[in-house]
Amino acid sequence: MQAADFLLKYDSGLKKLHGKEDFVSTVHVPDKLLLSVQKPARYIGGEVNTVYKDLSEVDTHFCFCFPDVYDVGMCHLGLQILYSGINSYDRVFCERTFAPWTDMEQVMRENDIPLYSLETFTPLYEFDFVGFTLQYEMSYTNILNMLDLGRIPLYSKDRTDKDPLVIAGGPDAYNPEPLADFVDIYYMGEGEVEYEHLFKLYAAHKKAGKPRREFLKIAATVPGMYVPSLYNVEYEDHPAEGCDHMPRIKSIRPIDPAYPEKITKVLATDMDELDYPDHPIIPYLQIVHDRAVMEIFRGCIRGCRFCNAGMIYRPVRMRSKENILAWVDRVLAATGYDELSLTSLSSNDYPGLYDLLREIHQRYPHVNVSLPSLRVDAFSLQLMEELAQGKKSGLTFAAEGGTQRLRDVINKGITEEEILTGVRLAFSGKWDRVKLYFMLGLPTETMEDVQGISDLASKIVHEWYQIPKEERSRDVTVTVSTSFFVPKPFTPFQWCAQTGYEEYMEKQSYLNQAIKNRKVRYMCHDAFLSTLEGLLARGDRRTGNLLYAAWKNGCRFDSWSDLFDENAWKKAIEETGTELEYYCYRERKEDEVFPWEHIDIGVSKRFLRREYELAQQGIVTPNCREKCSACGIRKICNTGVCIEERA
Amino acid sequence: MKKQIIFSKDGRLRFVGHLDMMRTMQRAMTRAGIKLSYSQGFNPHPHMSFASPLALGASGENEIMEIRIENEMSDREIFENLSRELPNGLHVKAVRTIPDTQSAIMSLVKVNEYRIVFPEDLPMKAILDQLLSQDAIMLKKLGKVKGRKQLIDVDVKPLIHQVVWEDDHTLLLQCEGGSETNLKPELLLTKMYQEAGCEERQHEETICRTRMFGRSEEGLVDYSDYRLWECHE
Repeated sequence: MQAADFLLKYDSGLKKLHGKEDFVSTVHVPDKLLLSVQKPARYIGGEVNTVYKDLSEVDTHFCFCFPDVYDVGMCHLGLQILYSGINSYDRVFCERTFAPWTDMEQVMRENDIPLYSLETFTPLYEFDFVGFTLQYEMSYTNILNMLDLGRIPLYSKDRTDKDPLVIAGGPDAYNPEPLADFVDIYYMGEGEVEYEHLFKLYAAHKKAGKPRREFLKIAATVPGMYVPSLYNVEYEDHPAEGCDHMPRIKSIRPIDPAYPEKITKVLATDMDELDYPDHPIIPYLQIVHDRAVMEIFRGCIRGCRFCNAGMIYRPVRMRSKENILAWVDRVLAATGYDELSLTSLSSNDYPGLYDLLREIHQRYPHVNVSLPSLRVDAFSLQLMEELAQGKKSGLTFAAEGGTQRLRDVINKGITEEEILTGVRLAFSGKWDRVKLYFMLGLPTETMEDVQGISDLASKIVHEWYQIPKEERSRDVTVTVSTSFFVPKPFTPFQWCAQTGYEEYMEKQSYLNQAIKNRKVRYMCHDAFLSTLEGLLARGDRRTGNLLYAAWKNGCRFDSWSDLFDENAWKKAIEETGTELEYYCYRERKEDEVFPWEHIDIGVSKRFLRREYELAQQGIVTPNCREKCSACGIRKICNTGVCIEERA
Repeated sequence: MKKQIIFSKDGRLRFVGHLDMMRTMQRAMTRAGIKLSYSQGFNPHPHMSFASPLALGASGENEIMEIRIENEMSDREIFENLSRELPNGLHVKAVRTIPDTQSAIMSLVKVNEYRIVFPEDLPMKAILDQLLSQDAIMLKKLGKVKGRKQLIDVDVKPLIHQVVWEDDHTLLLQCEGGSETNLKPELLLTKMYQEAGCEERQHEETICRTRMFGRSEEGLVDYSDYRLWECHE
């Protein structure tokens, strides 16, 4: 048998799946090409629990595109949720694709292979919809690259009736404008809610054989859908204060009153009623987080003022203990995983968390359970040890700010005493690794706050020395890790000036010198990436040109430090006349019209502004369970913590 | 209880590396209700081992693995449950129970047999004949010298036991393939492509491991021959 194409030889069943053979052209990737790249298992599909459908019985063919490499994308919970959700709809088929790594991209371009889906090896351009998830700003150039590899015109305006509809959602979609020129439809809100509705409308549209433009008009009237090409941005006629030539936005309006002035996010009201993937796809390849993942609740009661997720996922909605346990039974049986992760934005805010964990541990003593951001106390320490089967993982504290004053400014409800009590307990139980996360460049931060980071780390080491030798571990490591604060849309800090590159680096080197304790390790990064991230996070429709120029200059995988090409980005900024002063460094006035002004996440601008002002005064806001702060979310829904009885 | 399983690996599973393959098997076992026993110690690992790893891209007709299990399960039950849970490309062919004391299959296998199909436009048969007519076939191989990894020259001629051409492009190669001495067919192929004037090996051929042998006083013992096992397909 000759080394021939991949599919027909190995998956003779696949041809049958396509029904009519000429219905879809199938991409062939010869063996020798797969063997010439790293980790070929990224590009072969066919994993356990993959879904196949007969394409002759499908009206809407959807490709879920994750704009990063397979090993990263397959860890994404949203992918598994949407994949199983969309595939549960009648006559709709959801496939997957990922950004090919640079070696594979080269192979594909040299051999004229288009980007294809992993289920049926269908080229991207043959789909009805290609859907991108926007998880982080630095994946945007990958989106352009994937469209290009998938032979879909990059600009929405250049697409014709035979091209797929490009749809995007996810946390960064709430500022849709930087990619507005490339995306046909934005989905604002939680994927479980409106896709079925949208696909039904699409099926009818397709049957009627009407032009694409007509469907976009229909889509624009579906709750949560934003069609950028039907909205017009107007700018002021003079540059913004302190800027060279870029004017502020005057208004963002629909071109026709038939479309909503504001697009309100859609959200699930009852978590227990959501179908949850209990047959997730199990990758062959070892991926970054190789385990079953369950979301125990959505949203966060905390309201940290820098946190975008804490605002856009409001209100907090819990999954019941019974629902979670039943899922754990099903998913472990269907996957054979020996690791389970219970995710949320803040584990300890799940009522009855410890009971839940004990129950899981009793049922599955061999399964390793991990939780993000667990508060450290006597209970949790014992539990963590049990769950990790005797292994002592490191302790992590996200203190974010170095002094109490600064932590009050950002509304991060963790105190120094809490941290010190936690480590004291842990050290006497022979734990020996502590990780601390901080941000540099937070609003109102002074060098005193930066010094506070070093002081806190030293105090932790000091606590270790206080424990008698025979009771503590042999040695201790405290790792301090700092990132740079980037103001994000829909947070109280959306009005803030972002710290400049020099000041970022100055603070970083100050801290590096301030840390003298030899038990403390310091991890830091370069600040230019954070500057860019800030630019894209608060970018607008004009930022699309920058993205295009950066992609043209060869930018890909910008979140991978070894592939990030600073000079290519700087060149793109220059070529497009993008002003960092405008996007990053100026403080926005109260009357600023944001690029996301026409998007309504439920949380009101008034509330965010109030929080911004309280931050300046260092006044903390109680969490949603203590007291309702009237953020506005109840205006769009009446569920979750908003209607829970308060103790 | 110790079980030996013979399975095949082909199709897209050829692109799944050895470590990923072990994880895939392990999860399939869990789903199949086969409870692997775990080693003692700080980092317990399941008792599951393969006779010999298969190179990325190669298929295997009769691969051998051994597991130790905690629960009582008949060979037939294992055969059926595991078959149900394996992805396309992995296929159980036979299962048997072996004595706990039997040496690990990894240490018994000494010789591998491969079927290699070459592209039709290269005179590979003539090239290999020519190489075999020499006193030695010198190759560069990554090996250890005093504990440090470096390229060393080796004569692989003594490692080749049998060469049979099924047709002009299909080679059946028996070569040393144990844990002490081992000839990766890829090495020999690289040399052959060089002789054919190709700058790099282009992966144009297909490689399939067909059988694995041990040695006894009477000669080679075919461990992948399961025809006399009670439970096979």
